[in-house]
Amino acid sequence: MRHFVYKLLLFILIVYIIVFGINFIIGKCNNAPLYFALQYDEVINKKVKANCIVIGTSHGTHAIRPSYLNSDKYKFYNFSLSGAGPGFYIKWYDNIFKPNYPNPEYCIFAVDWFMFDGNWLWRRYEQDALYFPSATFYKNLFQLKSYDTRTLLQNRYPFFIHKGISDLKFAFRGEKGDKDFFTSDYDNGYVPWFAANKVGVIDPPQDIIVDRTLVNDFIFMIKSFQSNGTKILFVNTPEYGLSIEEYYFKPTIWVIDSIAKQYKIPFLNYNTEKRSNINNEAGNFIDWGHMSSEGSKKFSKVLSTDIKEIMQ
Amino acid sequence: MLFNSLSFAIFLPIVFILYWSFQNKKLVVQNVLLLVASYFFYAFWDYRFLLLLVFSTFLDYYTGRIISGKEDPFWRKFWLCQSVIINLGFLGVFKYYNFFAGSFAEALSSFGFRVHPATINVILPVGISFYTFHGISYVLDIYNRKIIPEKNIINYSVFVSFFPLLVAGPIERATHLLPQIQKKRTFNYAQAVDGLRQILWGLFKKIVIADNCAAFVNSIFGNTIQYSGSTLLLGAIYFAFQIYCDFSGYSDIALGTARLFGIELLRNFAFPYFSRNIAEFWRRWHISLSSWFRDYLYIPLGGSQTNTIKKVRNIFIIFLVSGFWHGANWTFIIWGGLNALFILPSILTKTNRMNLDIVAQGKFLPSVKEIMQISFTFCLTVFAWIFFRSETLTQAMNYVSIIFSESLFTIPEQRSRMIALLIILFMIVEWFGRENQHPLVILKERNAITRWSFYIITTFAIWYFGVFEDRAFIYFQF
Repeated sequence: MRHFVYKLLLFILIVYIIVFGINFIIGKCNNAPLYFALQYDEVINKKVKANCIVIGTSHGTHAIRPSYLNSDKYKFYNFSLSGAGPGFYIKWYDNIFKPNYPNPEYCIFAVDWFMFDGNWLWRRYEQDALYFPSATFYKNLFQLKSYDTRTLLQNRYPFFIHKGISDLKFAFRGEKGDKDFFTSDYDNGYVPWFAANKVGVIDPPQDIIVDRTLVNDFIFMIKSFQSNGTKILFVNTPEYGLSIEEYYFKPTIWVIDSIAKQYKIPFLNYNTEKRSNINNEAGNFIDWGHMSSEGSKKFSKVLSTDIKEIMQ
Repeated sequence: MLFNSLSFAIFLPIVFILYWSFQNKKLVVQNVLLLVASYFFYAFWDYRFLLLLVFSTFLDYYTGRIISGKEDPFWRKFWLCQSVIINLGFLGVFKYYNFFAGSFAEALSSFGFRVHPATINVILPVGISFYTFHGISYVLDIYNRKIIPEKNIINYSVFVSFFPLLVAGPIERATHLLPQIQKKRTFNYAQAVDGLRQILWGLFKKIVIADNCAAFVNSIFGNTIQYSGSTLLLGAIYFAFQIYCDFSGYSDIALGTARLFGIELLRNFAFPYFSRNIAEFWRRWHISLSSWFRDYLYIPLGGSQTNTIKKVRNIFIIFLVSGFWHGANWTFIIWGGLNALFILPSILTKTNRMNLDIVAQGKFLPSVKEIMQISFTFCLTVFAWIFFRSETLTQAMNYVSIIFSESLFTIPEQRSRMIALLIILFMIVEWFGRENQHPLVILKERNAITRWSFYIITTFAIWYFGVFEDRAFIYFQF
């Protein structure tokens, strides 16, 4: 019996050493976009220590350049992440932001007309486990009812992330995920996106739903920010290809409007009342919703002027 | 708790260590531990149905004792019938009630009567088809005076609910398993190592072959009319491998797990896709169920020792019942009927007892004749599997009609080279290990480096090529 157990343990040890080695090698070739790590790095290491933050989806990431918004009094950091909606941010705020970062004076929430559709916004908090501080990761791991343990584990270790053969090939080729996201132009959370197939694809999704759970998460987040003294602004970044009238018929926009009124939050919608020529130039966009580097510069200037009036 | 789940990976080592740490204690300690572990294993799925399992255990235990104490044939038969009726009654309610109610209403509607059948929304208790058959065979063996009843209720309960076989067999016989439970087990190194090898191979079959095939097969069977005949044929072939690797993979894990506890279970599969005719296939496929039907249904009906008409009747009865055992759907019944048709010529020409040996025994490769025989048998089984896998008879008929159309000669729209390659590698290993209980037995004769390299490569192959989606075993639903 003892001989059997020793041999079994030896086998497990050999497998563990191989897994450790593969994990180490793949870890060196991590192909996730570098800017994901940079967003988390700022929260944990507080290099910029901004007192105004931006959160939202990829539309926010690729549209709002914090350096254009900075002033003597306010320093901005853009924490927007691709595919991140209220369901993501409610956990991110509680576990990552609140325990690690100084309470901001302002929060710009980059809202979208698809932000309450969980199928459209793919990012789940647990998927970012790779970037969590160890204490947060282990705390979440044992909160079995609140967090998806399996996803947490799968995303913490490169060995688990790159499971498929095609994944492995990709990882070992040493390609970095920032191939399309040039961190050379990284601006405190803003990162430009260079898509291989340049636009003018006008194919915004049509069948967007409003999930009440996500609306409630969103309201809960607003209350959390406000109760900590953070003022909130809603900004709908410019998009290409939809008419003003179409925005008026988006149920998500109605919900955001009513929340803005109820909680006295200024709502700057750059697709309706604040629409400008930026919306009409294809060169300002990568696709219908993501702004190009040029577009983001033009828009950030406009936004800077608009928010100054509010923040004074 | 699935064999391929994290919970089982935690459960098994704990039970294993506890079990062998009581090695020097009395037999009853070992058996109580096995019983508690088995009930926990079952309750982990749904604790409410544990009561049903306990009731069924008590019913057959006491019926067995009563029958044994009676000499009057009338009362012996009375108690036997009572047990069989109650056991089959449970099976009928949980598994077949809705099917009969629906079919009855459909039959009436064809005569112009509109009836809304009172269907019941019940969950099928996992393993009910298996432990019911355990119980029935035990009572029948006592009735036929083949065994004497077990006096110890703990021993009998372990026989019915031993966790490796509880949810999907193999369907054990009291003559085989009970003597092992009645005897104190001591740790056997060679047996435990071989058990682990068998578990490893079972996991490979399930997670790598069966679950990869499942994604492909589900997509094809889910959109039958969208694909060409060649794609559908490929889908049917992949399903043949899916169901084989799924069920035999489960059986390998069950047998391997039992060996870790010093118990040998009945073999359930013996490389059925290397069979040279359908009769041989049925001696090698789901052996514990086939032999159950042979011993408790076919032979009592007269078997093949009767006139031709009765022989044909008996063959159809056991295959139709076998089909129906798999589930309350006409597709399973047709699948059973087709197999009866396929096996009938060999029964009538008395060639069914041919090929009792292992194909190409002692040889590296089979002869051309054997290749032709194996291929033909495989084609027949694949054809029958189409009915087994289809949701409805209409779907099955559409599937078959598209296969036998011109589009059979086109290049399949869906094909996965990776799955094909994995299946080929798998079949090569199976071929070289076909003379053993499971293919990895051949590693026994190799040196330590070869053996360990194989274990490690297989472990990583499971990780990299496997599907980890908590996909249940197909036979859990039966």
